[in-house]
Amino acid sequence: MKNLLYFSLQMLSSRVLKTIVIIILIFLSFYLLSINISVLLDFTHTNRILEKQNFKNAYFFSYSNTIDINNSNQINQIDESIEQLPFITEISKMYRIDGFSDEVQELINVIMYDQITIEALNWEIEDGEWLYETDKRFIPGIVDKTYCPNIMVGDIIEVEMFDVVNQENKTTKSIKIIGLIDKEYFSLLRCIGEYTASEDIIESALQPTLLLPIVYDSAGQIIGNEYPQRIIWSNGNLDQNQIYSDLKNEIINFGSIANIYSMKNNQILRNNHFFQWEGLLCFVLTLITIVSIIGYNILLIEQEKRDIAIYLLCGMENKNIQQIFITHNIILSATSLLMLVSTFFVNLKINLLNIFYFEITQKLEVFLFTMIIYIIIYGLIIMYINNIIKKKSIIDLLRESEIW
Amino acid sequence: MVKAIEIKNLKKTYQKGKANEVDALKCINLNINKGEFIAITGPSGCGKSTLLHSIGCLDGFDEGLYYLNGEDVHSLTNKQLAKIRNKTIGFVLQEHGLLADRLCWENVAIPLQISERNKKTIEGKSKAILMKFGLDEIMNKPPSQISVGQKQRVSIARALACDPDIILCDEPTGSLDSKNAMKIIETLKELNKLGKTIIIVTHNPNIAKECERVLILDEGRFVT
Repeated sequence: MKNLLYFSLQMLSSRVLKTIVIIILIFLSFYLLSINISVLLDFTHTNRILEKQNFKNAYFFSYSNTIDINNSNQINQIDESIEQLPFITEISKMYRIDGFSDEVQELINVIMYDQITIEALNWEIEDGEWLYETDKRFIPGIVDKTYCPNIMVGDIIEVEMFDVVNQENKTTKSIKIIGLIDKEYFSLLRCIGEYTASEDIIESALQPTLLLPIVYDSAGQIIGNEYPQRIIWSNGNLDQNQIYSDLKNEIINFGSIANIYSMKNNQILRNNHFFQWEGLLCFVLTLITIVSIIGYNILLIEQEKRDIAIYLLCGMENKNIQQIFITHNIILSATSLLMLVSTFFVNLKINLLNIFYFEITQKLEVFLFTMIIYIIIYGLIIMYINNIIKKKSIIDLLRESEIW
Repeated sequence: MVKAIEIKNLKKTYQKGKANEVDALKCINLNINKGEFIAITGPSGCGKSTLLHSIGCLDGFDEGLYYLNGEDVHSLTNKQLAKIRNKTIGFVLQEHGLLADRLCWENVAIPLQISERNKKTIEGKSKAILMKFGLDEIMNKPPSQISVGQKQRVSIARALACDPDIILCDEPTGSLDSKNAMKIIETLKELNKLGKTIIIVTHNPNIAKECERVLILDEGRFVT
């Protein structure tokens, strides 16, 4: 049919406000859907990393001496915190000293009792900013050399301990690099972080995190035996191009649980624990959108039946009416999609009703998955609407609209 | 004479096979030559509108044959039937059927927009038809701002937009006073003189007697 766009735009022009509302609704629903997809893909990605790396064990250990490992109540509290994180179930919760192998135990002893004696990092939020409580706290600092992008295995680096209270360097250690945290492990940590806190918080949380990769040879033997020299301090700024993935790794992440534990009672963390609510919200909004789009189209058919009757009388087929509705819906969905694409570019943050805080990730695969779901849902809706139009007879429409 | 419409033993039943089955048309035979001006009249519920629906390719029929310009309508596809409604038949309805959110010329343009692409041609043709009917002044007004008589003339203009051979009118003067009604009939007569085949369905005997031939329908059959 000629002038399809003309007839579709005629339909739009007579109901501008309703059109804007439906466009916003579609956008919001698919925006939330894309966030869900983003989280789902990250979760899948995490599992893939675990499989690929073939970790022998991944231990999570708190270096906080405010968490008394002999205090079962505290241990249980940590357990509860960990239980709230979907990913942690994949990893051994080996923060108890007696859970470690002899070599790791020795290493922990060195760190806990000989070198690092810091208390838990109590995180507080004030006017949206994260603050460290600084009294009696020592946060492991990172020596400039560790920022060096050309750091190599075998290099000797200096690690400084930074006294936060006195704002001065306390000690300096020389450490030999025996392995490096690779890009994927770092992204794994970030991924875990995304379940527990927003990206900004994780950036901060990783700062005082000590990552200890212990490299095994193919026979399962630890390479090297001078533990203090095996430590790599990282704030996540290591050269991501240098990887070591051939060997089986046993990775201990010091600090994550302490951070998680200390953040447990925080508002933002609680919101993130509402992950399942986010999912439900996305699902409900998508459902509302589907119902709204169908309802809108049925209402449109009802309101436009006089026009449709005249069109049919003047020589259109039902097929042409279907085409007009498809074009109309494509205009609506394309506008919503354009808004969605814009959010990918501007990295839009939405703080919905001050409860749910979303920030969409700029990943092509998230966008593609959202598009696919978008097309499937819209395709089904259009099929349903087409079926309704197909069943309409000219005579009925003429009578219903009191033309004939 | 060339036959415009040839109908043989046409039957139409509503609610077929149900308790409330109604035989709307019973064995209709009708021949209409090109350029004829015919009135179909009869009491309410006699099947006038049903016959007009069938002639206008808006609704099917159960039995019989219907040839439009020599073509068997029963064998045509939906696309071909739609093309007939666009190019061959023009409709004039009692309630004019103008769209309120469009200007008068845009209403006339609807059949053209279905078949033509060039916007200037569409606008030009639509306005030219309205000018022929002496409706220059109202062409840029919405239907709500014109009189009932003018609305009906715009409706006739729309029926003529694609220059069809046949004009089907269902009570075209039903909502008009006698003065405006006669104006409409005069307009239709002029169109008939130009070679258009006009079929009017009406209750009004004064309108019917203005036509060349009057057919009376009763209980689904022609009685004269």
